[in-house]
Amino acid sequence: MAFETIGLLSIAALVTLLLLRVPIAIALGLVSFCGIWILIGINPAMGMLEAVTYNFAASWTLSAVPMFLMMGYVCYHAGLTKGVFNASRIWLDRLPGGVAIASVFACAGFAAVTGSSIACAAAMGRIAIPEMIRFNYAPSLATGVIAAAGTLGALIPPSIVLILFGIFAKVNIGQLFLGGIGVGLLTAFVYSAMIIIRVKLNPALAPPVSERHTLMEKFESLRPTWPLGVIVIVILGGMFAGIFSATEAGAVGATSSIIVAIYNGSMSRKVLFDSTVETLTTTGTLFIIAIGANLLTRLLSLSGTGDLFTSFIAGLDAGPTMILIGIAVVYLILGMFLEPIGAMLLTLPVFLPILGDADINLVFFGVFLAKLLEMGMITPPIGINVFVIKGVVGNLTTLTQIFKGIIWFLIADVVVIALILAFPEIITYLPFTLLD
Amino acid sequence: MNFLGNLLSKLTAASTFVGVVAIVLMIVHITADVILRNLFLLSIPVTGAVVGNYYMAIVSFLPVALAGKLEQHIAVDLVYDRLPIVLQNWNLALVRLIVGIAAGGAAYGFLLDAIEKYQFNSYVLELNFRVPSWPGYFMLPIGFGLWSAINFYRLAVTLKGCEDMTLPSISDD
Repeated sequence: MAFETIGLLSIAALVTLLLLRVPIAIALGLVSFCGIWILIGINPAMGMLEAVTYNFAASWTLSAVPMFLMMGYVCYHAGLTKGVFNASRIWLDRLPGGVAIASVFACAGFAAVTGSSIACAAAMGRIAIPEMIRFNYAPSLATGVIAAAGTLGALIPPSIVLILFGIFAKVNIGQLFLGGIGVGLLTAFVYSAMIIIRVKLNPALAPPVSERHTLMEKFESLRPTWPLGVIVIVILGGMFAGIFSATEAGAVGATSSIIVAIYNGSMSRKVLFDSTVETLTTTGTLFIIAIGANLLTRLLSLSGTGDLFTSFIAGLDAGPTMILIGIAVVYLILGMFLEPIGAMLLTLPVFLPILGDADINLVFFGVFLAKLLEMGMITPPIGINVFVIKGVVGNLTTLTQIFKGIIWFLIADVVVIALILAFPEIITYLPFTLLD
Repeated sequence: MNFLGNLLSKLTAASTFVGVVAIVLMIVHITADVILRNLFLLSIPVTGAVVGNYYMAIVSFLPVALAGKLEQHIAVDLVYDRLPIVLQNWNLALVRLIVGIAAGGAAYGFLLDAIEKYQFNSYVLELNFRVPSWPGYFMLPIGFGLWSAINFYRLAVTLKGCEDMTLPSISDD
């Protein structure tokens, strides 16, 4: 049997196992191991499995992932981000749909201390949705805005998606983080503009807030935001001032969040234990998927299937923009059914050689990919952030209502994607100016 | 059967405890290294090697069992959710069998590799310091072995006699 045929049959077997609901990590690892075994024999395959598994995870660089996860979970469990929403609301509630816009910027603030959009949506959902309902906002807007703005958690640094992409694609993580800032802020502004336009057209969605605040009260509202501010300044300031590396920033951030929580009186043994256990389970599930994807990369390379895909795309004679649009469509479809990091690690072995051939900058692509994957967090039928919000609001509204509210944010996301493709500098300006 | 379930639960809890300790130590170790380097131009020797080969080996591989116990390994529900309940249960049993065999086979291979690394007293070199690396290799068979055992246990409990094929979870402790 030709090597390429073995590669293609392995991909078919992988899809079958995934549809059978075999965990992604096992499906990737099993298929890759068997494929490599057929290609080069059992002993080299075993050697490759052992070496790839240990060397990938037992790594200094990868330690940033559990550390940033820990920082986010501590902030979440210790409730360090409550003040951000209140401050945003007091400063922005005069705008049409002001409380919803405040929620977007509160999510952006929380995103600076968490790398996960689920944590961002869950934390802000508990704080902001009851407030919006109290001000008679439409439940579809109140829930949709948090599910969508929660995705900022994986765009604004630190971001677990970007760290894993950086390690997998061998791209500077600091540059990816800087690129994420541009897309994160652009997304927040496009969401806000969309909310203002919608509320102007249909004021019943978000009745004006009658509360008025003096300038003194506005400045007073900034005081409870200090825990978040301190942590953000420490990690981003330290990282970009060269005091510590992006890898070390995770541990420094985790330490800062614990110290701030202790100072704030919100640290307890339970907070520390829950944060640590969640860090462990998330790390355990993500890393073995990454190891499986790493093995798949080797199978595709050994069998020549990767080259087959690359030459097929090259044969289409498509320019970089067309390739990016094609990849965007693939990820939007995958995002409807797959968990984002799983989808990324599953497909990178196929897409990375194509990107290299098309001369597409990997810093640009990593951030572009993070945006696409995060859209998958809110697309039906499996929009994880939507399920998180449903869990937060209980019977207050239906899943259908939340998805209905999401549609407008998805349209806004398409605008963001179009802007990124038209003006790649949105991503590349900061990383190549500050860290070239 | 209860004894086996409780034993697996306790072993998973013990591996989780080791993971919790490793996370806390990793935070303290890296932060201390950053502070010492910036304030006193001192660096804790072999930090990279210890973080990679000890803390990360523990944090990456031991929680595989905990995630298995909590059913948190990521899977695609696209077809599964649309199956009738009887087929869902059979599908689940098949998945447990596949995961049990795959994780168990991997654990066996990893164990042989870990024993070999121990016999050769394998180490990594960092700044002329020799850091033994073999202990980290034992985290792989422990994590994957436990995950495999949990799957076989759940499969056995299911096949043993639950008429509706409902799968009991391992008792929490």
